[in-house]
Amino acid sequence: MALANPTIIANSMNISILHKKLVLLILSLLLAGPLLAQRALTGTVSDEQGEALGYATVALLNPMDSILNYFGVTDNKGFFRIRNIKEGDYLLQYSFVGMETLYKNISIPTPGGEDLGMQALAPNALEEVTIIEEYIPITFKSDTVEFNPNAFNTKSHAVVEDLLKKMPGIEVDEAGNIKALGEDVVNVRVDGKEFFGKDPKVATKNLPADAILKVQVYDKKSDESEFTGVDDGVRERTINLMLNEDHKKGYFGNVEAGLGTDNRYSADGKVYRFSEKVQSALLGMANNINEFGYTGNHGKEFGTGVRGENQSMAGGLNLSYNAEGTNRYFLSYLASTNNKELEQETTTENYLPAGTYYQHSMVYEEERTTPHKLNLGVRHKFNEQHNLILDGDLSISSNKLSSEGLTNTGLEDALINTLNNTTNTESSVIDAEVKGSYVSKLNEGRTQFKTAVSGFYHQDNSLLNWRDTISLYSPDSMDLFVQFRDEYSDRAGLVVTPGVVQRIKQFWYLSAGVELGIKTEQLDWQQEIDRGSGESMDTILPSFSTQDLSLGPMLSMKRNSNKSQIEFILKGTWNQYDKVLDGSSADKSTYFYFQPGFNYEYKYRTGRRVNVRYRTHVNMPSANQLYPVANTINLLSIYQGNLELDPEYSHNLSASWWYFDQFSFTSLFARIGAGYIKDKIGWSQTTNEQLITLVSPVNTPDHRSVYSYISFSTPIRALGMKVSLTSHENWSKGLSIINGDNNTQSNFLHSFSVRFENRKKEKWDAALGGNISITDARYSISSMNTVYYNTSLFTDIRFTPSDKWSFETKASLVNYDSKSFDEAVSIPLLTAGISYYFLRGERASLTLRGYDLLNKQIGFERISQTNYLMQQEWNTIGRYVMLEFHMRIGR
Amino acid sequence: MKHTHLAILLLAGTLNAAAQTPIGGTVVYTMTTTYNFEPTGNDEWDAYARTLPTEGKFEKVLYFTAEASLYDVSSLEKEATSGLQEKTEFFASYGKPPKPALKSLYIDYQEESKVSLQEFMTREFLVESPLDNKGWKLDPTRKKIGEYVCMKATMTLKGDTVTAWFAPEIPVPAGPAEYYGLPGVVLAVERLGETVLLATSIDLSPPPAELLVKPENGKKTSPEAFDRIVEEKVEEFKKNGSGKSDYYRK
Repeated sequence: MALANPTIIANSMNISILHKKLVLLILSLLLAGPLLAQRALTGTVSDEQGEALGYATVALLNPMDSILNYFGVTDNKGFFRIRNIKEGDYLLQYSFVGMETLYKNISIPTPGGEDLGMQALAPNALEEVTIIEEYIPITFKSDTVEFNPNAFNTKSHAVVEDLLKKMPGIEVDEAGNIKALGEDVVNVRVDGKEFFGKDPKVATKNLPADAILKVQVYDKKSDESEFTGVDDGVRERTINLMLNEDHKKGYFGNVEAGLGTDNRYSADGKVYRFSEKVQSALLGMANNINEFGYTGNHGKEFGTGVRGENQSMAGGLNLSYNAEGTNRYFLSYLASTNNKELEQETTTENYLPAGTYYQHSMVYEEERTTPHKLNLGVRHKFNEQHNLILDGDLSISSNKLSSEGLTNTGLEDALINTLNNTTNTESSVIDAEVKGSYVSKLNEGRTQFKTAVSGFYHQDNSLLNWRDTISLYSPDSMDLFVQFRDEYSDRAGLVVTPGVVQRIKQFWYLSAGVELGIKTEQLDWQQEIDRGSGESMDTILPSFSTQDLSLGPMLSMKRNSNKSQIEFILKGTWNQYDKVLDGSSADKSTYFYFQPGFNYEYKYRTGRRVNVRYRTHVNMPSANQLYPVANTINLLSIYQGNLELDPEYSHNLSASWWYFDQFSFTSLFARIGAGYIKDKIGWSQTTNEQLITLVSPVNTPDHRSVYSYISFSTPIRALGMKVSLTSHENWSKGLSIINGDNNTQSNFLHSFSVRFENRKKEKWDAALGGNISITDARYSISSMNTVYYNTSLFTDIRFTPSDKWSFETKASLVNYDSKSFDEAVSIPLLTAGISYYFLRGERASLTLRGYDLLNKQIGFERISQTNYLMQQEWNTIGRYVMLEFHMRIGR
Repeated sequence: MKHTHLAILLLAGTLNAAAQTPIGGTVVYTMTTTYNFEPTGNDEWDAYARTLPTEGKFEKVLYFTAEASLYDVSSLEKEATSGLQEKTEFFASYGKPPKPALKSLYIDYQEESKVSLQEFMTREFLVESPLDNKGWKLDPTRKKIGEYVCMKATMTLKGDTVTAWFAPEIPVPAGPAEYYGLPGVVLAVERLGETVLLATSIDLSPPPAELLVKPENGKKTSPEAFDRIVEEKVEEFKKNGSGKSDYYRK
């Protein structure tokens, strides 16, 4: 460090000359060291006239390679200083715009001292003033994308669903319904494009796992916001399956056929072709082993399994045509038929203010459903300013159901009534929905007009006939009722939402819109009752229709940047709800709801995000809930609608946190939320001495719920494993009216799961896990505290010793404890299989597979609701052994 | 008197002796990345790739005074990117080994040291090291950027030639990212024949003191330790099959 010259220091200290010399000596010795190595240079630069040149550069370069070592820039007086120069030889360079650059050799320390004095520069050799060109940026190819051509060689014939089951944060239930990070997955896309409309299962249950390059899970913004560039806050939990390169050339697919014991069979064929313009997929399947490659009318809700024994057949086609740019048009068609045989046993414990009663029922059902589904879609960008999105769904299905059941109801020690019932239903259902949106951008995108239109139509035509034999005891009596009903119902609606989004200034957007809707519902029933004496009574049931006209203006202010989004929404909804019973107006109600909303999202770092969301929702009662006529389909449990029902108004608040550390591959997702429903439509139940119940929907003052969901996963490198933990907590409290008394029901559900999996999956692929779920249900009218829990353990092991062989076994044990129920139930399930691969590329395989080898599999469920605890058991596919042939076609 | 005046000046620590107004400013740079998807011979992908945006523009900022400078990327707030831009960035980085991203670089010209905040695989590292001689070579060519006449300097970085254009009229050795150490603020940088960074706005009022602060977040790591960490992870990446997630079966 070049400090002051010792002479200067000594001088400024104002001491005697003798002492000054001494101080000089001492200071020189002290400062000599560093000073010897470092030097400074000063000087001035001027032109030939002696005028000072400011902002001239004076540089010390390496004489060998001209690398810049030190430099100084002159001030407006032409003065420069360069400090901390190490000893050595340099090339001194003086440069200034319009002047000749001057070079001189120089050695540091300079013999004449650090001041180089004034240096004049000569003007540039060229006569004219040098013209300085403007800088033009050069651009060039910078980022080229390389695709890894290595395809995955999955030996097993796994499908995408099998991949998803291994991903942390993703849950797949028995029926193939998917939840990602606690929310239902609504959309599964293939390479960003729709596949078989809105049915996620067609992709996850049919696409081979080895065709997939990468699985992405994200909250997809709407297609509109991709066009407008403005985030409209719409998020749909989506899974995007990116296809492998070599699955995009030509055809690929597979065929499967299997035959087993107990008359079990399965056959499957699928062909896919992805080319530049057209993507097509053709599927066909038939089996009687309860496997469905699509979403049927069963098991739609997460957690409900497939019940009974099903024989199904389906065929479908998906076509997608890519015009230029992002324009695409797609269409898919899926037809299926399913025959189900179900035997179900239900036991319930019902709480009344006066005491508890029990019910036991056995039902045998045969059902055949044949739905045809068609989906169409258009994504068309007319030009930079106009974009159209259109989606249409049509489904036509026919259904035939026949069932026989026996229900016994009584007290602990006495049988009170018995119902013997036979029902036959034939129905046809039509469901159609169209959604479209048109967006125009004006003012270089600062103003956007969007009009969204959606319409739906649903029609249900059913013919029912049933016979009920009711026996009552003490005193004993028996009655036979034969009933016939022709039910017609339909629902139609049209909602138009025009709106405008205006960019106010950087990051800020104001949007305004209005939602106009008209919805109608209609019920028309004709009924005949025959009391078994041969006389039939035609009951003219009154027709019922509702009309809901709605007007909802909306205003929102939003700030959107790449780091955070915040939005405040103000909305008001007017509903005019008319009810017409038997041709004359029964009620005309007008409702107004104030619906504020709030959204906040903040990406505080890569891989970290927080989100807070508040929304309100209005739920209008349906025609079935309002229809004030007793429904005698079950004469021991009569349902009657309530014309006076008011709509439900709910508030929902949630906060989430995402944490992903790519470095250690640890991820954490946590969400908490709360809900409050005002005027919740609950139940009012009246049970008489014969234990015949009348149930009606009623508005209850409120319903509260709080939930939390946490999902955590991290590798345990020392053990070569990966561990995932999931916790669900759910508390809810609601009211129902039992025999005139208020019954508060609160449910507290705790669930915790853990899963271990090995990381290196060369020969072994093993997973082990368990779950415990505890339900604590309380009913204020009953003093009993009901707690029940179930625990489960599972393991899934796959061993692939060579290219030719693989062994797999899956085992699970589910235990339902006995507290609050009669007995503990244990359900073990064991599956094992051996596969042999042959032909070129191991494309063909023969598998010997055994399902439910212990033959203990049953369908089982325990739930607590309103004022009862229920246990339900049903039949499902039992033990079988099957030989399957599988072959990859194409790639 | 003259000596004390000199002493004060010497200890003042500024490059220019007659420093009446403090030197400082803010330069905003634009970085343009061109996304060029080479035809892969796979029709469907090529058709899809043609629909993606061909370039992305990113803004970077440099705050400087004669004593220190801060090149900052992380704190800038920009308009939200559309889903398409995010998708394109994903494709552009897909299959490539993880790379550290410079979030901010703070240089102390008096201490002759620099602190960089690096983000690597979602973790933040604070790497401190002394200022090194970049090995710039000056070139007499001049070009005008905005209102400033800039001089050319070149150096070799990892085998590539980097060209920087600096303005001696702003006599602070600051520049964006690693492009510092020249007799003037660097206003443009070229590498591999492409313009990596170009100044779009130059404001010569000293930046507010609260903006020009040393980054503090991140794990303190020495430059050697940091390089080792990156090397280890890149090795791991190459072994595990190039970036496909843990979620696959082999």
